[in-house]
Amino acid sequence: MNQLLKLPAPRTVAVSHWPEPGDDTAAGPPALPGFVASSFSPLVAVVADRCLRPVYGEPPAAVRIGVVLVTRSGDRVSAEHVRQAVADGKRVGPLYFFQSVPNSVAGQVAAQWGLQGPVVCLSPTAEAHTAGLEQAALLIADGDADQVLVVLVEQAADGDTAEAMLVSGGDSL
Amino acid sequence: MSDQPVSITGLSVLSALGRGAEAQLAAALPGAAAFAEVQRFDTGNRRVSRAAMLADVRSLEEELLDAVTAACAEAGLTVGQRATTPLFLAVHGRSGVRALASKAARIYTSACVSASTAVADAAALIRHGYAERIVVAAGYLVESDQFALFDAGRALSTDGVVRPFSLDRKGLLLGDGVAAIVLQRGEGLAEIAGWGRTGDGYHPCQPAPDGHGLAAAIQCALRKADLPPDVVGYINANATGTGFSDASEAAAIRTVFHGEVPVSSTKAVHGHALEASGLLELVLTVQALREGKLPVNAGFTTRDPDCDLDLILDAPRRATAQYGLTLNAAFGGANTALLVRAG
Repeated sequence: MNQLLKLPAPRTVAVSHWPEPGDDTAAGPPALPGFVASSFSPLVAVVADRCLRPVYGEPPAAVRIGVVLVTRSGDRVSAEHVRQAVADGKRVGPLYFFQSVPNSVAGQVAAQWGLQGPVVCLSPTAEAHTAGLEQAALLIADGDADQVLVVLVEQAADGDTAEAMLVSGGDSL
Repeated sequence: MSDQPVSITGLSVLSALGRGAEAQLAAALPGAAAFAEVQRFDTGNRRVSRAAMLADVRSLEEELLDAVTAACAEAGLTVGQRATTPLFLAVHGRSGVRALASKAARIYTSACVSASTAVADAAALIRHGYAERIVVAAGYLVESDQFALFDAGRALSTDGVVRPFSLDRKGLLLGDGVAAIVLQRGEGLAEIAGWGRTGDGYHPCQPAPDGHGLAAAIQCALRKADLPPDVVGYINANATGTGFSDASEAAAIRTVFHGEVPVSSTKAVHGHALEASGLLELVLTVQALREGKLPVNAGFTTRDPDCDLDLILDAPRRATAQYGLTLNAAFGGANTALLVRAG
């Protein structure tokens, strides 16, 4: 046996999306204080809020909730801005430092909702849902979280998309 | 669950300190820092111009491939075994490593806990029977975009030195790091005895001042090993030489360890290897325990009352225990602790 065996699939508690009916996709998600120029972090925040609020009401949620953020391309808009600024020999704005890794907005969600489970960011090697749910299953089964908020987010030329899933265990390992 | 330990059976590493685990420790023991003026790209528009870079380094993908090959060879894997061993990769993104990324089972992009999270996940999967053997590889080579970002964020040390836990610490400096390890059941070079991953739930970019998240990660690692804190004879700290971050980590260590435990941060010599830092520092911790010599906390000048720890200063110390901890923390309030046994 040299391959990864499948863990027991976690149980889905709640799901949310961007866009949902009624969303203004041209305007994008609401701005997120502290994050600039790119829709990446606001997308994560809006689907996290939509997923957690029906279950937990107002923050805080339960403490032992982890955050797993799955994104193949990451914050493309910010990364391209930095790449161009460096190529042009210009300085980079300091806020781009703070949003330079997907951890930052995951931590923003965790701070807002009082989540103290693990924070894990992945670039999916297969289907994004599968990657996120397998990571969530491992964190729960290994005892580091009771629930995990899995967020999938991509910025694309044909429209931004994001999805959040709150999942629970599962059998213990 | 298997009663057999999860062990490192092969490893490979490079940093500005050189190639190989022995070279890392040889430079780290006396605190021989590898920082120099950056020649790899233009820093003319930056506040800081120093980093720790290996002179003859090739592309990140080439170095990662070589590291995986070398680690698998040391572990005694056949070509067939290597081909069927899952690869967990810790990198900033796929750019520059696309061929290797296409072969990876998982790609971790969790900033400075990417590699340590990958190790924790791999160890958990092996211990609980979901995998027999996993390769974890991680890499960061200092480049212009991240350098510009850290410079813009005023995170880089303005005096050209990294001074973990020192009252006059002024920030971090970046450094090259590429490493790979083979993890599998049974005895090996070192055991991954326990691991913990937690979040602070405090701030997008700053650690909780009381270090509660990192303390919880340490306690989690000890709990998984079913061991008390007093078995730990060395802590390789995350300490980046950053004001609030080092103080938070010191608070976490004091929360868990009521006696004195020797502490040093080797980022003072090899710099911060970002996504690869957890694996580089794990290898250094293993090598220190195997050789029975603990590296100094370089760059230190002045005690900080907010970092009241048993720092290894002036000269290396002889290891008195088989167990060591390596700690990492990242943006997002992400924390990891890896408990290793070696020596």
